[in-house]
Amino acid sequence: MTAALLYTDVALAALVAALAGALNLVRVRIRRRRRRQERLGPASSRAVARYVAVGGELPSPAGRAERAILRDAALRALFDLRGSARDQVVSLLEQLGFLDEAAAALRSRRRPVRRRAAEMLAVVGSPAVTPALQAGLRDRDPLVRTACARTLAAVAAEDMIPQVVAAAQRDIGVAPGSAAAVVLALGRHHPGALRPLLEPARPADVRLVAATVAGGLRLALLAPALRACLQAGDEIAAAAARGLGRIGDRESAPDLRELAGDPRRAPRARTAAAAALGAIGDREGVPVLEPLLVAAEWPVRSAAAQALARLREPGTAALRRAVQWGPPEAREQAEGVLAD
Amino acid sequence: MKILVADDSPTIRQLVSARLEADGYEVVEAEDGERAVAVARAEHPDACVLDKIMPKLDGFEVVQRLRADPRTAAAPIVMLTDRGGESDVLGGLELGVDEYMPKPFSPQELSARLRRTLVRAGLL
Repeated sequence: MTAALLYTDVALAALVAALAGALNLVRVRIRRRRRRQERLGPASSRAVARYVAVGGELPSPAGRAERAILRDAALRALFDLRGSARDQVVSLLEQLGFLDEAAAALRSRRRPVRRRAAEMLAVVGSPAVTPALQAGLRDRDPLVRTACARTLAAVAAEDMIPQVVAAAQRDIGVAPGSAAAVVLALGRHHPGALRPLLEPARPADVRLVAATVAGGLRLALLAPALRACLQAGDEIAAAAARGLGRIGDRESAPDLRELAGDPRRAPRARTAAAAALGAIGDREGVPVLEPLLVAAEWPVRSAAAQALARLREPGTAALRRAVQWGPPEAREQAEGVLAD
Repeated sequence: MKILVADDSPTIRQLVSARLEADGYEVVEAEDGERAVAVARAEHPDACVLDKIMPKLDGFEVVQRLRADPRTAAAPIVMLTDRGGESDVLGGLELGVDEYMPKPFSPQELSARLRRTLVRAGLL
């Protein structure tokens, strides 16, 4: 018994010593990495800045650590630059072999390595590594897939876009934020590619993201598809209504009036529709908006009042009627916007 | 010709300074608003490139102090901003900012805008 206890004590002491040793090793490595960064970082940043300013010879880092620091300095510069200066930094990364390294890293067995590589290539946004990015669409990790898809949305040729669209749709359920970023990239670079994502047959979460992006980017070519989304569930309809209001799509006015005036629809959908009527300047919508000043829900009443104010005379006449003869909740809203 | 470059990002300071030095300007740097005012009073730059968001004093406060001091009041100012709203731009123009440069920026364009302000001020 005593011997067993002794052995246990010794084993525990050895384990604690090993853990302490491992911790110390990590601390030493972190300190060494920090000192190397402090020593080499400013020089690397200056080298990148000089290369951007005057071109000439490429910086020539010696050793793996210096290469990594130079690469990070170049990536930081990419965030701050646009135009030919940005292209120069991308060219520097390519000529020093960093893009090829990242493309190769996309085949690593280690997920963190693949994720870092995919993110780096997303920041760089170069078509030079399209084949590697295309292979990355089939990665088993959704964050790698969506980072590759986001990059391809910005740099790939038109014939590759259906694969990117499929990637966004597949991953909206497992990595919604990252997949939404893919949809946003598609909206910016290939707006027509969002059309299939807005179709009624698509899952609701896909349509919602696509409608939000289409409206946020004011993609007028998608207005017909957004109009169709007004018939969908309340969240999608609300996003579509907001989008149509931002686009200023007057053709959607009849559908927006119907949505705003439908008591069976959720308040958020009716609120968005009412606001959109004001944004598109639909004076024929006054007979629909005026009764909404007495809606049960405050957001609907408020949106209706704001919309009426935007419609000038027929709208402000309705607001003055509410002030003069309306019930307290309508008077409150009307007085508030007329005072602004 | 001496230019003050003030930005809390070392990357941006280096990108701007390298461009301006390549154009033949002498550059002095500051990493925050208070330092920018101190350097401007000590060095009397011919123009300033300021970031809008800086620690200690932001870009607008720096502009106010520079414009209030006869030693630095006349120096043209180019301000680097994030994609700011109209109110930001109008506010800066009222305080005396001569040019705005949105970020991400092009160093070549910044250099051209700076040159234009110097020409307008009769310094070039």
